[in-house]
Amino acid sequence: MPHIDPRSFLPLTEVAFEILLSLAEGERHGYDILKDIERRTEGRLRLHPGTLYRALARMIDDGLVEQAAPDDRVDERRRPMRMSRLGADVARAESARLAAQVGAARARRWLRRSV
Amino acid sequence: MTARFYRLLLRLYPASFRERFEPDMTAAFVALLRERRSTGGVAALAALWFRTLVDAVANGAAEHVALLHRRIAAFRGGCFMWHSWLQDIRYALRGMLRAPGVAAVVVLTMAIGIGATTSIFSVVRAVVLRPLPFADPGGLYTVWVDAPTTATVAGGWLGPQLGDRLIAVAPPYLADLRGRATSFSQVAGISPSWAMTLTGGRDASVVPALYVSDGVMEILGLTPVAGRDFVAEEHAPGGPLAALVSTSIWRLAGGEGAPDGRTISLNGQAYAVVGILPATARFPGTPAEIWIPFAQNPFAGARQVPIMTVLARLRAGVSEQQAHSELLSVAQSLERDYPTSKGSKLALVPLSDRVSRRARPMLIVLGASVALMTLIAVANVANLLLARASVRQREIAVRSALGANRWRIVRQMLTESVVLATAGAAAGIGVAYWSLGTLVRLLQDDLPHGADVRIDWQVLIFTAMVALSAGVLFGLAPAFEGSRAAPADALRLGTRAGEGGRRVRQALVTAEVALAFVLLVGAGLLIRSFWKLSSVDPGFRTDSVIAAPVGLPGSRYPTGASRLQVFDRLLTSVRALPGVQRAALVNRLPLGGATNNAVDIQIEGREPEANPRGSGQSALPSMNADRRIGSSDYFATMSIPVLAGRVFDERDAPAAPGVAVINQSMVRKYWGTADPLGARIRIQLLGGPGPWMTIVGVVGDVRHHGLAAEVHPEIWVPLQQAPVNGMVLVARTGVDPDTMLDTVRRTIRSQDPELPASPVTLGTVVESSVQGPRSRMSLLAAFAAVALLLATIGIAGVVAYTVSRMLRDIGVRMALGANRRDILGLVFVQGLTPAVLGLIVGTAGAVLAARALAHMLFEVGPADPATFASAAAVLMMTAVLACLLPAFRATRVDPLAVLRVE
Repeated sequence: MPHIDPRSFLPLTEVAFEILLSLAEGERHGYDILKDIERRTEGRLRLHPGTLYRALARMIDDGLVEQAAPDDRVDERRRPMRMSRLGADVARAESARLAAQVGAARARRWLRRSV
Repeated sequence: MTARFYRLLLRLYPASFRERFEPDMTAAFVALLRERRSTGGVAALAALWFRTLVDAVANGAAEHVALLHRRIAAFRGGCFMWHSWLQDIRYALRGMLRAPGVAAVVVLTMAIGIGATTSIFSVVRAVVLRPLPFADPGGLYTVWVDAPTTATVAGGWLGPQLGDRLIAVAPPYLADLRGRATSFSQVAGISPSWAMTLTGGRDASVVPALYVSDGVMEILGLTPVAGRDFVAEEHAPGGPLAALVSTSIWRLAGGEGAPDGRTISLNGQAYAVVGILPATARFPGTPAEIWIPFAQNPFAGARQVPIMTVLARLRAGVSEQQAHSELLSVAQSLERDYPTSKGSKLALVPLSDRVSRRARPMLIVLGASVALMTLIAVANVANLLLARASVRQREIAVRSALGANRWRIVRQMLTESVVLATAGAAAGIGVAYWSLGTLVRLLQDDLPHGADVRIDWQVLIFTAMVALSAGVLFGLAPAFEGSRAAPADALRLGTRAGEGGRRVRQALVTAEVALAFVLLVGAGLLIRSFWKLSSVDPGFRTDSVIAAPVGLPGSRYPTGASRLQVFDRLLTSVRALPGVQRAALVNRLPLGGATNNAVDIQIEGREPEANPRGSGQSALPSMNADRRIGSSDYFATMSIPVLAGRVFDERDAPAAPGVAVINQSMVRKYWGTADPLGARIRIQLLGGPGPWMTIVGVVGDVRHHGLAAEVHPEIWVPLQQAPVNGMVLVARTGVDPDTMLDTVRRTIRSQDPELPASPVTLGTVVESSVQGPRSRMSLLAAFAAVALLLATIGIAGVVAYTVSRMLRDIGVRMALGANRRDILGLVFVQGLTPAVLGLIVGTAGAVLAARALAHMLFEVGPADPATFASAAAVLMMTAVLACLLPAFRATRVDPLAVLRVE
C-alpha cells in the first residue's frame, strides 16, 4: 500500500475529528457515535443520521474509517465503524496541529489558565 | 411504521449511498426516536421529525451534487479530456489551413460583426454602464425645479433640453435645501459651461469654466492632486479670487507641479490658482477645466436666475422615494417663504441618468443595428460552413466509421467554429481599435464630453462572450447536419447530402434577408429624415460668412460707451479688409448650440396688471420671447429678409428712443394679422421692467435653436442701445471664407491683443448643428450596407449551391426540350423565394424598428411607404443580381456532359 501523508487530510472538519475521537475507543455503530459526540460536546454538536453518514461515507472513501464485520447478533446488515491506521495517524496529526494553534493562542493570553 | 417512513425519506439520497448505509441509518434513527419518546413530549417528537426531514432533504441533495461532480470528473477522465480538446483545436487549425479561402471569409465576416459590436459596446460601457468617474456614483443625485409651465430654457449637457419640464435651481436655494432637506448627507451646486476669456498664455482664448459651491470636491469624492480645495473665505461673497485648474491649464499658464502663488487672468481679472484638479474632475457633459467659487458668479444671489445644477448625495438608509417625498414638502415650505417659487415642485434625478439620457436612445438604436448586422454575419458564416459540411461528409464518415461517436464529431465541428470565431474576434478587436476614434468623433454630439470610451477588460470579456456564442451559433447547424449522415451512405460514391441541409440554408438566407430589410428600412428612414432636415431653410444664407466670438473682458471695458467704441473700431477695420463685403455683430449665432435668451415681455396696453379682470390671478398668460442683440448691418450681412418697416440704422443711437425689430413668429403669436409696427414693448429685466421700445420692423424667422426646432418669437434690439460684452463678429466675404480666417483673426488681435479670436466659417457651424442626425444616418447606413452585402453573398451562395446540385436535373430537362427561359425561371425561383419570404418576415420587424426610431425622425413618418418600398426594391434588386451568375452557369449546362457522368 502506498504511503499517504496524513497531513494531506488536514485540517479536518469538526465533524470528522469528533467521529475519529469517538472511534478511538473502539468499534461503534452510528447511533453510538451520535450520542458519544453529543455527550462529549455537552449537546453543542448534535448530528443527525444524514450528516453523520455523509461524513462517514467520505471518511470511508478516504480510508480513514473502515466498516467492520457485521455483528449478526443485532442485524446481519448493520456494520459497525472502526478507525483505520491511517485514520489514527490523521487524528494524531490533526491533534498536533490544533495543539500548536492553541499554544500560540495561549502565548497571546487569549485563554484563561483554567482552559 | 416509523422506520418504513424514514426509509422513504432515504429515497432522497442517491441509490448507491442508500445501499451502503440504509440499515445503519435507519437503526440510528429508530434509536434516536426511542430515546426521544422516553424523555420528551409531543413537541420534542415533532421537533425531531422536522429536523430529520430537513436533514434528509439537505444531505440528500448535497450527496446528489457530490455524486454528479464525481461523475463529471470521471467523464473528463482527468487530462485526457483536455488533451482531446487540444487535439480538436489542432485539427481545427489544420482544417483552416486546408481551406484558407473559407477560413478567411469567415474570419473577415466575423471581424466586421464582432468589431462593430465591440466598438459600440465600449461606448455603451463608458456612457451607460459607467458614466461617472466619482466615488459611489450610485448615490449621487441631482435636484431640479419641476416647472409648471413648459420651460423655454435650454442649457448644455446636464441642463434641461428644450421643452423639458425640469429646470435648474437658482443659487440662493442651495442654502435652503441644505437647511430643510434631511435626506441628503451632502448637497452642493455647480454651474457648468461659462465661457471666459483666458489671457496670459500665448494667445487669449475662450475657455469654459465651472462655478462650484463649497463641498463639490467632497460630494464627488475628489481631492486636488496638488495644492488645496477652496477655503470658506473664498466661498464668501466678496472673497479673494481663487481658481482650481486642470493640469493642462496650469501648464498653459506656465505653472509646473504644485501651485506657487501664480495667478491666471480670466475675463481680465487675476485669479489665484490654489489647487490642481485631478483628471477625474471632468464633469460629464462639460469640458470645463477651471473651477471658480460660486460666490464670484454674477448671479450668485439672484433668486430668479436658475443656473445651478444641485448635486445631492443620499444619506445612508434613505431611499430615493423618501428623499423625493421630502423634497415635495420642502418645495411647499419654500413656496410659503418665497412667493416667486410658486407652483414649482422639486424633482430628484440620479446623476448617471442625467448624463446618459441624451446618448441612450441613440445607443439603443446603434446597439440593435449592430446586433442585427452581427446576426446576419453569423447566418452567413453558418451557411458557408453548411456548404463545407456537405463537402466534408466523406471525411466525417471516415471518422465515424473509425469509431468516433456523434457527440465527438459535433464537438469537433463546434470547436472548429469557435476557433474560427475566436480568430474573427481577434481581428474584430483590431477593427474596434481602429474604428473607435472615428466612432467617438461621429457620436460626439450625442456623447457626454470627456466620456471615457476605451477598450478595457470588461469590453474584452464581452467580446469573448460574443465570439463564443457566435461560434456556437454558426457552428450548430453545420455540426448537426454534418454528423447526421450514416457513414455507409456517405462513403458510397456519388450520394449527396440530404434535403435537410438545403432547407436549413434556405431558412438562414430568409433570416438574413429579413434582418437586412429591418436595417435597410431604419437607415432609409434616417436618410430621408436627414435629407428633409438639410433642405430646411434656416432663414439666412449660410455660405461665405465668417463668424468669430468677441468677448470683451468686463474689467477693461466697464462702460457701454467703451464697448461700443471698440466694437465700432473692429467693424470698421474688418469692413476695410479686401474680400469682406459686409460685417456686423450679434450676441448669439444661429445654430450655434443651445442658448437661452428667453425673457418675459410686456406689450403696451396688454400688461397683466392693466387687465380689469386680473384680480388674484393674471388673466393673460405671461408673454415671452428670445431677446437678441444685433448691430445695424446684421440682417443684411446674414441675408435675413426685412418683411416690414426698417431695421436698425444710425438713428438708433444710445440716447435715442428705444427701438426693436421682431421676427415673423412673434408677429404671428402676439399680433396675428394686426400690424405690430409702432406698438411698444418692454422687457422684464432682473431689476424690473426695462424701458419701452417701439417696434420699427419685422424680419424673417431664423432657426436659432436648430434646423428641426421650432422658431421662437424674437425681439431684436440694437447693439447701440444694449452694449453687452459678448458679441459674435459676422462677416460676409466675396471670396472663399476659409482663406480669410487668418486675416480676420489678425484684425481682431490688432484691436486688442487680449481678445480671444478663433474665427470659423458659418458653414461649419451649420454643419455641426446637424452632426447628430448626420452621424446616426451614416452609421446606420454603413451597417445596412454591410448587411446588404452579406445578405447578397448569402443568397448567391445558396443559389450557386442549389444550381450545382441541380445540374443533373437541369441536364435532363434540357435534354427533354426545356429552353433557357425555363432554366432561368427555375434558378430564379430558387434564389428569390427566400428573398421574398425574408421581405415578408422582415416587414414585421421593420415596422417595430421604425416605431422605435420615430423620435429621431424629422418630417418623416415611421411607416413611410416610400422608404419601405425603396428598401424592398433595393433588396429584391440585389437578390436578382445575386442570382445572375449561378443562373448564367445553369444555362450553360451541357446535357450530354452531365448525363454521361451517370
